[in-house]
Amino acid sequence: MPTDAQPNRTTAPADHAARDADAGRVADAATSTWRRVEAALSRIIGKRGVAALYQRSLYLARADHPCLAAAHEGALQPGDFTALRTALAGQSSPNAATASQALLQTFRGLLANLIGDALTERLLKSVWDNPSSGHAAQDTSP
Amino acid sequence: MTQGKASIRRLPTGVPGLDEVLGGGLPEFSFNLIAGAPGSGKTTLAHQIMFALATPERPALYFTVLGEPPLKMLRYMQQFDFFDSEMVSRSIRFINLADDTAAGDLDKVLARVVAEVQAHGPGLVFVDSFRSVVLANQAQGNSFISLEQFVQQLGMLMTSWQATTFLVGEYFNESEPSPIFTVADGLIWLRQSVHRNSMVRKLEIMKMRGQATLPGLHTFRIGPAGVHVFAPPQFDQAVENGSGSPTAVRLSVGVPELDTMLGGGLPRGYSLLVAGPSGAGKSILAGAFLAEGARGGETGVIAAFEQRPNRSRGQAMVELIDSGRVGVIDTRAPGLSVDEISGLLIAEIRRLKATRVVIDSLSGFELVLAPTFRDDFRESLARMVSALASTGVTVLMTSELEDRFTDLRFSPYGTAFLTDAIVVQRYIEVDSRLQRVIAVAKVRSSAHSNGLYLFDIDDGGIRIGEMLVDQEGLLGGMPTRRRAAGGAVGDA
Repeated sequence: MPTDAQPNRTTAPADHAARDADAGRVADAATSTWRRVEAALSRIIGKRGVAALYQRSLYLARADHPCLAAAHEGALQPGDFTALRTALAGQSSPNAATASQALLQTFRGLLANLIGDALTERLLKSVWDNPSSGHAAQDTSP
Repeated sequence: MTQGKASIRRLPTGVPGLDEVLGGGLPEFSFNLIAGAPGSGKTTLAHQIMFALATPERPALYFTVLGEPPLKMLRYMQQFDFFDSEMVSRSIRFINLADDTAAGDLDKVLARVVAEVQAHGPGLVFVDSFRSVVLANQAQGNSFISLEQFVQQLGMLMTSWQATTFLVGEYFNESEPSPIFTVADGLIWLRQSVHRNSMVRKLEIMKMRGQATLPGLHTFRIGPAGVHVFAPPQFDQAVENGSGSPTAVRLSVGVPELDTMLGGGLPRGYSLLVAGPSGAGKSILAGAFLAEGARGGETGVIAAFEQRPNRSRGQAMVELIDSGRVGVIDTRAPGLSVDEISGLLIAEIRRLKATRVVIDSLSGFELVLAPTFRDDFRESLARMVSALASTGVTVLMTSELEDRFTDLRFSPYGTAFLTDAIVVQRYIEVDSRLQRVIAVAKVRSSAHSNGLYLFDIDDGGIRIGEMLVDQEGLLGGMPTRRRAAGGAVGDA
C-alpha cells in the first residue's frame, strides 16, 4: 500500500447520502464533493497541485476499482471531473458508491502522507462539514 | 496629538537572537525583504516569524508563488517545532498565486494580492518566493506595470493596510542595487559561508529603517526548533559599572599554595590564563577551581573542548555536574562560532547564577571553530572575555603551550594581554626526571609571587612544593646547579 490506511472517522457525506440512490446520483454527489475538495485546496496548493494529487489517487484506486481507469485517462484538465462522473454513472449504484468512497480515501491518505493527518483534516474540514449542497466551500472570515 | 512623533511598535520575531540583532524587534507595518541563496533558510525564517506573530486578531497571509510547491513547503515546514497545524486556517492562510503568476501579468498578481488582503485584513503578509514574480515579469516583457512599480505599489498598499510585509526571494544580486532595496524598510540577508570543508550560516541586517541594528554578519543555526541567531555577546552595564576596588575580594583557586603565589587568591571578576604543555595539569587546576567554588556554595560553568563528555574528567567533577553545581556547555556541534559559545556560556551563567567559568582549552576551542572564524579568533576571543567579565564571573581559561626553551611565551594566540592573570606551567629536567614547575606571571593591579615552584599531581590534585633555589636556567628546561660562590654557569 502506498498510503497509510486511515481510520474511517470522516466518511464522505456524499457517499453516505447516496448509498441507496442510483449510480447517476452517486456520480453527481461525488462530483460535487470533488469540487469542494478542489475549492478547499486549490487556493493553498494551486489548481495544478490538486490535479496532480487527484490523478495520482485515480491511478492508485483503479487497481481495486477498474471502473476508475476511464476517469484516470479522462482527467486531463485541472478541475474537470466529468470523466469521473461518466465513469461512476456507468456502474451499478453500490459499485459506484464503493469506488467513489475508495477514491476519496486514497486522496485523503495521499495528502496525509505528504502533509500529515492534522493539517489534512484542517484543510479538508470544509469539505466534510459542508453537506452535499453542490456549492464550492466558502472561506470563513478570520 | 501635539507630541508629534509616530511611535513604532516593535514586534518580537520569535526567533532567538534575531530581536537583539534587529535592535529590539521588527517595526510594525514595515516592508521587509528576506533574501539569500537557495537553502539559506529564508522560508524557514519567514515561517518561524509568522507562527510567532500570527493570531486570530492579527492573521497572516502566506502567498506562495511559483517557486517551491506549497505541498512540499507544508510537508517540510511542519517538521519544525514552531509549526502549529491548529493555527492554519484560523490565524494563518496559505494562498497559492501560481496560476496568476504564470501569465506574467503583474497587474493581475497585484490585483489578486489586494483582493485577498481586503478579504482577510491580515496583519502580516508574506510573498514566497518573490523571484518567481521577477522571472515571470522578465519572461513576459510586455507587462503593463514594471517590477519596480509593482514593488512600490505593493509596499505602499501593505503599509496603508497596516500589514507587516515580507518578500522572500533568492534573486537579488548584492552588488547591483535593485529598486526593491530602496523601497524596502528592512533587508535581512541570509548567507551560507563556505570555507574549506565547513559551511556556516550567517545573517546580516543590511537595512532596517528607524532603528539601530547590530552591524556585521551574525551566525545562526537551523535546528528542530527552527532558526537560532547568535547575536554578539552584550555587555552587562550594571555589573561593569560596579564600584569598589577590583582586587578587594579574592577567590581561592582551590590550591592554597597557588592562592598565596597569586597574592592571596584570584581577584573576583578576573580572567586567569593557565598556560602549559600537555599533561602539565591545566584541566586538573581548572577542576580544582570549580570544586573550590562549589564548596563555598557557588555554581560554575565549564566549556570543555578537549575531553570527551564524562570521561577522564575525574569523579569529583562528574559529581559536581550531576548535582547541577556545574553546568556544561555542549561543544560538539560542527562549525561553531565564538559568538555561539559566548551566547551559550552567558545563558548558562544566567541560568545557574554562576560565578566561576572554565574554558578548557583555548587550543581545543580553536579546533572546533569553523575554519572561517579562525582568522578572527583573537578578536572574537577578546569580545567574549570582555562579555564574560561584564557579567561579573571569574574566568579560568587554559591554553596548550608547546614547551619551547628558547623563548618564553604564554599562549600561542597572543591572548595573554586579554587576561588579568597568567599562571605558567612547564616541564624541566632535574636529576634525570621530568619535573613540573609553576609560576605566576601576571596579576593585574596586584603584587604576586615571582617564584618558580616545583609541583606534583597526585590523587588529591595539585601539590605545590619548593622553589629550586639552588638551580638556575629553569626556563631553558635544563637547569644547572648553581655554584656555591654564586658565579653563574651557563648550560651547554
